[in-house]
Order: sequence, then C-alpha cells, then structure tokens
Amino acid sequence: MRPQGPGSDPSVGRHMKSEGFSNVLQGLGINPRDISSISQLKGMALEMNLGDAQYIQLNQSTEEALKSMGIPNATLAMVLSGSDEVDRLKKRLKEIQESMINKEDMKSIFSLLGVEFDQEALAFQDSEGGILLVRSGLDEILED
Amino acid sequence: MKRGDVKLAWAESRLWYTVIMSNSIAKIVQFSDESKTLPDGSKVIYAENEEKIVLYHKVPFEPGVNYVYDRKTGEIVVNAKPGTLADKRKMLQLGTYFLENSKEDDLVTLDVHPKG
Repeated sequence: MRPQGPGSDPSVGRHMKSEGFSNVLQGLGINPRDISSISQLKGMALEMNLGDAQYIQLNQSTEEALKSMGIPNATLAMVLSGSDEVDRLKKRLKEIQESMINKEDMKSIFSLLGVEFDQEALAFQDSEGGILLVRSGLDEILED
Repeated sequence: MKRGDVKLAWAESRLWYTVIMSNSIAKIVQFSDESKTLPDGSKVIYAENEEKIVLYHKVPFEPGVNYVYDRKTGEIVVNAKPGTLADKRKMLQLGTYFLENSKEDDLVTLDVHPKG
C-alpha cells in the first residue's frame, strides 16, 4: 500500500515524506487518508512492548514450549532476558503484593469492565493505578 | 487454571493500553532529529496500535526492513512476507538495541489521530 496523500493536517504530509514513517503506517494497516492530525510528545510516551520483558500472546509453538517446561494451560507468557530482570520482577511483585486492594472494590471494578472475577486470582493495584492480576504461583515465584 | 502453575495475567498493561490509546489510532516512537542514528549507523522506528507492533529498521545503503507483529495471532510478517521465529528474535533484538542506545530526550512520540 502506498501513501494516498496527506490528511487535513499539514504535519501529516510532512511525516509521510519519511520512508520509515510511511512504512510503519503501512505495517499498522493505517491509510494516511484516515488521519486527521498527528500530535507530538517529547520522549517515549508509551510503554514499549519490546523492553526487558515481552508479554506475548501464546501461539502453538510457545504453548508447546511452556508445556515442555511443565506449565500447561498458560494464557500469557513473559519472557525475561536475564537474572537481573527476574530479580526486578520479584521486587516488583513484592511491592505489588504490599499494595493489595480491597477485594470487594476489585469485584466492582471487574464487574464494570465485564471481566469475570476469579476468587483464586490475586488482584492488586500498583502505585500508578494499574491493576495487576497474579493468578497463582506468586508465592512460588517469591520463594524461588 | 490450576493453582501452582506460574501464570501471570497482565491486566495492567491492557487497562493502561486502553487509556493511552483512547484518542489515537497509533503511537510511533522515533528520533526527534531525523538525522540521528543508532551507534551502528542504522535507524529504528517503533509503532503500535491495538492490533500490531511494527518495527522499521534501516541500515545505510540497504533497503529498509519492516517487521510487523500481529498481537492477536502472534505471527510476524517481514517486508510483507511471512516471517519466522528467527525474525521475531531479530525484531526483539532491534527493539532492545533501540531502547538501550537512545536517550529519552532524543525521542519523540507521534500520536496519530483519526478523522471523524
């Protein structure tokens, strides 16, 4: 798909002159004509999904790999690149564990979100307001 | 799910993602200075929306390589052709290299807003 012309914002046309920019738009399946404007923020204004830990949706190969490690029925896998990341994760889980919020409140939140609340799931709220579910295995990770 | 299995459901990222993406159809991270390159002379642009993660890699005097990861299927497409596990690893390596060799001040995030 080649760019079909800039949107109404002049900055769109300016960005489209960049080969890399037009390529990533193409990769995302976005037609430049569907863009009204592009705003610009300094720095990295998102949680990049290619950092130390990569959260991946399971496909057949990762599912098989996890099964071979004795972890069947997993829905998400987290890949860590080294022991430093494991240590950081442990520390982070401890912090999160200490900030566990009221389960009744959590039920209400999940209800509003249309998510079924699993009584066995451990739910926490982190310092930035995000919600983290740790389904079983937390103790094993912390004690490991 | 059985207790004892190591299973992490990272609802946090999903929820934050919803908040972040609420008024845009994509976010693109690149060097604010177009002439800036990574230490090896290459350029990387990272982009994501709800469906895909894209990493564009350009080495001087070589054609650009566009890695497109489908977040739902887990499949990867490289320059519009089906990719392999090795391509996924390469994409991750490039992303990590990009992160490790760029300062926050050098980066800019472009927020793409839809019409209507």
